[in-house]
Amino acid sequence: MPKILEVENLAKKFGELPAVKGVSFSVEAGEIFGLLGPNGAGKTTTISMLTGVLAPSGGSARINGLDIAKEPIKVKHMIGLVPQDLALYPTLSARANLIFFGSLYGLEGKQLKERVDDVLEVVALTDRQHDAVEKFSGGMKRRVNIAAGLVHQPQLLFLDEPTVGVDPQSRNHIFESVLKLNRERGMSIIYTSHYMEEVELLCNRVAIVDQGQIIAMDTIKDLVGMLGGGIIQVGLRQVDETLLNSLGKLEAVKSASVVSQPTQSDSPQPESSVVKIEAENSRTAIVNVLGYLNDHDITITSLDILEPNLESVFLHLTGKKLRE
Amino acid sequence: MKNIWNLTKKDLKVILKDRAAFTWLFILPVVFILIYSILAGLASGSSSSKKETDTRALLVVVNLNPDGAQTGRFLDDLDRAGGYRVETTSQSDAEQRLKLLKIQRYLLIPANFSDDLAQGKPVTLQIINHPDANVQGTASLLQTVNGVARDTSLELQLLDGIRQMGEMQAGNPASQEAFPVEKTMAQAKSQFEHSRTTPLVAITTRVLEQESKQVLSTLDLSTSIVPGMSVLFVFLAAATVARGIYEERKLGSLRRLVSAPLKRWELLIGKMLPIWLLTLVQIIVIFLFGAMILPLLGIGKLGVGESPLAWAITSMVIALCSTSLGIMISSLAKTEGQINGLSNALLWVAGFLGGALLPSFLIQQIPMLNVLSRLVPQSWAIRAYYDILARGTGLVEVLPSLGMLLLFSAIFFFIGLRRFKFE
Repeated sequence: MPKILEVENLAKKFGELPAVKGVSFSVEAGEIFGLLGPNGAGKTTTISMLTGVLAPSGGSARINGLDIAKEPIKVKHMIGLVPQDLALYPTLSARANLIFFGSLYGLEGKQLKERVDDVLEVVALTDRQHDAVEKFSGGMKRRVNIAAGLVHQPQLLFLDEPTVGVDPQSRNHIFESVLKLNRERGMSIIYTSHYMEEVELLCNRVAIVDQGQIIAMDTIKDLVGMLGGGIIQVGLRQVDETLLNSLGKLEAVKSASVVSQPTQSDSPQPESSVVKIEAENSRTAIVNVLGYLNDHDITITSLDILEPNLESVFLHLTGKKLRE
Repeated sequence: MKNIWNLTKKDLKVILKDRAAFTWLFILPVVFILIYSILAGLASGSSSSKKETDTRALLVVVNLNPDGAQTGRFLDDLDRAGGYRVETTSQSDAEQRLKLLKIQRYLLIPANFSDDLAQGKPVTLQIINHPDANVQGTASLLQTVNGVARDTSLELQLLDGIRQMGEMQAGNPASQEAFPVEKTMAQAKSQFEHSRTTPLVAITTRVLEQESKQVLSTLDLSTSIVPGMSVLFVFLAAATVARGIYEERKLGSLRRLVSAPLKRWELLIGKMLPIWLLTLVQIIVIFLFGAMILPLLGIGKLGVGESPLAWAITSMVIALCSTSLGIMISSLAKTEGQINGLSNALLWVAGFLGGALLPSFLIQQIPMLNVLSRLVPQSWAIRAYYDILARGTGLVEVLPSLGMLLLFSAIFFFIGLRRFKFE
C-alpha cells in the first residue's frame, strides 16, 4: 500500500523543553494508526505539527508526498483534524457549524449541502441538526466535533483523543463511525488515545509514545507478543541469584529478573524486591512459581499477573501505567 | 477573500445571538452620550454663573472699536459670562502670539461694531485660529461668544421695538389705546423671535492667513460631545476583537481554524472584518442619535458638516484603526484578564488623552499631555471628525489625520501579525 504519511525525526521544543524528541513513522493509505501514550507523552504536539498548527523545531513530514512545511495549504486540503477540545461554536446549530467549517475548504452551494447532510448521517445527528450545539449532551457534541473534521472528505483524518468525557453509548457510536469511515470509505486515520482498549479495538498498527519518543511501534499482535505468555511480578523479602536461576528454570517460565523498583502503586513493603517473571503460559507459570516459593518457605509480599495486552506492554517497557 | 467572508459571516451569526454584545455595541454608547450631554449641559449652565476666581481660560481680544458704546459692555458681559478672562491687545501683538502658538485663537471686534449696532445693522465678530488650534476650544469659545452676542442682540432689538412704539405714541397721543398691554407684549415677543432668527451679532471663524472663512453657524453641545464619544466607543471595539480571538482560543476552534487551508493574515482579517462592519453600524446609530434624538431632548442638534463622503471615509478609517488595535491587543495579551487590563489602559487612557472624555483644549494646556495626545490615534480621529462636522471641511483637508490613522492601523496590524500565537 502507498504511504499517505511519512514522518522523519520530527521534533518540537517549547523554549528549552523538548516535547517531541525526533519521532519517525509512516502510515499506509487506508490504515488506522494509533498513537498510544499517557497524558503529556507528546501525542497532541505531534498531531499539531502534522496538521500545521505548530511549526516543528526539527525533522520533516510529507503527506501524499507533499512536504507539510513547504506546501501547507495543499496539505491542509487533504487532512482533517478532530481536536481534543470541542472546537465548535456553542450558540450556532450543528448544521451552521458544519457549513462554516466546510466553507473553509472551498465547499459551497449544493456540494456543501450534500457533504453536510452526509456527515450528519455518519454521526447520526440528522434529526438534531438545527439545534444549537450548546443544547447537546457531551457525547453528541463530540460527534459534531468529529463531523466537522470530516465534512470536506479528508484523505487523512487526525482524531485526537476523541472519546474524552464521553458516555459509553456515544463512545461506541464514535468507534462505529471511525470503523465505517475506514472500511467503507477507505479513509486513513491517525487515532491518539491513552485508552488501550480503544487502540486495540480500532488500530491496525500502534506507536507507543512516552516522554516525546516512540518506544515501540508494530501491529498490536506483535507488540503484545513481546510479552510472550504474560508477566508475573512477585514481591519478595529476600532475593538472590540462586533464587532467580531456580525460578527461571521452572516449567512455563521464560526468565526471571529483579526490577529495580516497585512497579505498582499497591506495591510491597519498602524492604521488598520485585521479581519480574516472563511466562510462556501465565497460568501454568503462576502455579509453578507459587509452589516453589511455598516449598522453600519464602514470604510473598505482593503478586501481580499482567495479562498480555497493550497496557502490560507499556508497563513492561516503561515501568509505568498508561494512566499514571 | 472567500475565506475572510466565511469567517465574517460566522462571527456575525455568533454575535447576533449574543444580546450582551448588542447592549455593549449600541445601547451603552447612546446611554453614555445622553448622560454625558445632560451633565455637560448642566455644567455649562452653571459655569455661566458669575465666577470671580481667575482660573478661567485666557481670551485675547483685538478691539478695533475701543471707544464704542456697545463694545465695552459687550466685553464686560463676555468677561462676566464665566469661562474666559478677557485681555485686550493690539492686532499685531495678537497675531504674533498666535503665530508662535502662545495662544490658539483670538477674537476680533470690528471698528464699526458700536455704530452698526446702534443703527440696527448686523455686525460680524471673527474668531481667528491658529492652523493647529483645537476645534473643541473654538467650539467652546464660540458657544460663549454666541450666548453673550445673543443677549446683546435681544436687548438691543427689544429696546429698539419699545423705542419705536414710544415714538409712535408720542407722535400721536390720540392713539394711546392703540397700544394696549397685549399689543406691547406681542411686539416684544416678535422682537424676541426676530433676534433669535436674525441676530444682530454674527460670528465667523477663520484660520490665520487663510482667506476663506469657514462659518460655524451653529455648533451645539452635541457637536462637541458626540464625535468624541463615538471615537471612544469605536475604539472599545478593539477589546471586542481581542475578546473574540480569545474565545476562539478558549473554545479550541482557533486550532481547527489554523489547521484549515487559511492564510494567517486571512484569519486575522476575518476576525477584524465583522467587528469593523458592526462598528460602522455603531457609528451610524450614534450619529443618528446625535442628529435626531438629542435635539428632541433640548441638547442641540449634531452638526453634520458639508461632506458626507469625508465623514463616511473617516468613519471607515477609524473603525479600521480600532479593529487593528484589537489584533495587536490579542497578540500581546494571553489571558482574559490581560485583555481587559490592556484594553482599559489603551482605550480609556488613550481616549482621555485623545480628547474623547475631556475637551482636548484642556489637555493641551499641559505641555506633556499635549505631546502624548498626538501619540494616540483617538486624538487624530476626533480631530478629523471635528474638522468635518464643525469646520465643514472636506476629504482633502482631513487627509493628514486619516494618514496618521492609517499609519497607526498598519503598525497595530503588523505587530499583531508578527506576535500572534497561532499555536
